[in-house]
Amino acid sequence: MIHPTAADILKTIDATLAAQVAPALDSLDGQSAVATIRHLLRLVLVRIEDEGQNLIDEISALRRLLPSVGDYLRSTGSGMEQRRRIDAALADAVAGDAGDARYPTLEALAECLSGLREALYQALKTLQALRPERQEQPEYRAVRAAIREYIVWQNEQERKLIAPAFYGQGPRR
Amino acid sequence: MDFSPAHLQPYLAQKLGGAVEIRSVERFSRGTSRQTWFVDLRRAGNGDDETLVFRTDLAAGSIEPSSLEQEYFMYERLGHTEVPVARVLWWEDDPAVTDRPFYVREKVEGSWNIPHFLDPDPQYDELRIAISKEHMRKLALVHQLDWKAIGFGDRLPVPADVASCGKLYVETAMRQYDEVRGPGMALVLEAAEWLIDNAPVAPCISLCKGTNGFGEEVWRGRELVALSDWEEASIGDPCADFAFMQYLAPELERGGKKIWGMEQALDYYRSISGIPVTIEGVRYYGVIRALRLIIMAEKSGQAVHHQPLLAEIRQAWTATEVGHVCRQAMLAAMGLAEPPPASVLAEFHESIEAPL
Repeated sequence: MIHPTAADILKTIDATLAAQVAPALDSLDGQSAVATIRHLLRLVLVRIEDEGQNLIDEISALRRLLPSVGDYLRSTGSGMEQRRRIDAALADAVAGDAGDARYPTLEALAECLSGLREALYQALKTLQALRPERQEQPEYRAVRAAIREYIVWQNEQERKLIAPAFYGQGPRR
Repeated sequence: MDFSPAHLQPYLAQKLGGAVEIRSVERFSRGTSRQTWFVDLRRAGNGDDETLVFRTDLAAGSIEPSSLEQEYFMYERLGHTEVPVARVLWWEDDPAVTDRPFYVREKVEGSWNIPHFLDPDPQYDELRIAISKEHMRKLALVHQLDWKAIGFGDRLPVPADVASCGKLYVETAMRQYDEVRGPGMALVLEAAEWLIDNAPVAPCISLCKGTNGFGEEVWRGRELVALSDWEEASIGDPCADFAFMQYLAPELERGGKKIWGMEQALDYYRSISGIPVTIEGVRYYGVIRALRLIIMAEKSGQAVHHQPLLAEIRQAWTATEVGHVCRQAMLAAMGLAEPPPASVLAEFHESIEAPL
């Protein structure tokens, strides 16, 4: 452990930008850039604290959702490539598993999540193509509803990182 | 492009056919999608300064999915019409001169700012309404343009009929999304499907400017002397141009009586253009606007991810907060979530030189 923490240092950087750097800048362009930088520093601060758990939660959510999406596609006999992609992404999504003693980096978690998100995206494209013939089918509606539920939840997770960094904090530029 | 006076001086001397003195070079601080530079110069034997405006992509790529060359094309063609725009002078993509293309246009005297326009004091209501009407008149000019004759139909996607304007807009946006995206976002597919399902029939097929409002145009007093920012231009439903007005149809209520707002602005627009733009159509294109901004955020995010040393700080902001807020707005339009706080949307339009 090193004191001050990364969060402490970011707060000091931000305070220095506000108190010393911004007032010394003559150009509007530079002052505008500092305004944006300060917002983004706050975002980094929030993400240092909360993004790891946020990513693990979303990986877990997609690990629960994607098998049912794959199962539905299998039941229709379509989307073989999309099912393969789901299986591959799920097989790769081991980061954050209990029993893994290594601390996963944010980069590794983000990469894992990217694979799962892309698998869902491609599967949803196939589901949308099936809509004209299957939209009244309860199973189809259920899988589409589950995807929408995930989307809403995911956006709320994102809000928890964005809102404290930006909202009510003054001009962005 | 190197915008230092030392680099610009010989280039402009050669381009303008005589010695020039570079008086100042300044980057416009408000623009986000691309770089705009003001170059003040004086030609030999001429005592007057003149200003040229340079437009180029950001070093890590523009936030806007359409090309700089398309923007140049828009200005060039519009220069042959009654629509007030800055006159373009030339396009430059010679690698001996610049590492990325740029074009140059004349500077139209005026300002993006309108003194007192945002001052809530009721004494400025009359100003606000006059400005709003002027904006409607200039938009009517755009929408009544014979876009086929000017050649826009050869360059921009053209809807087959008034019923397919929204669908074409969404399909174009999704093509752009697939060109710029990182890992796919399921939300974007859900949004596109919803937008196609809910697309209105357009009142007519017009040239649409794309992004409008306070901060986008050039004003001289109460006259809108140049319509700027044509990078989001399209051919389709004119409702699109009322969906992103940035205060230019302000909602004004005094003593319990509505004296101006989007409805009144649209009534006025209808009276001068004859085009029956509806509030419902405007709302729909407001949602489409959110989809476009999600795509811009995605492109920005990829620029920061792949070229962090070249990317601009505003691309990082666009990729993060702007993208999130637009996704929230999209979900709200689909009835799946609460809308983002109105105060946040207002904050987006603030700048350090014009705080709310």
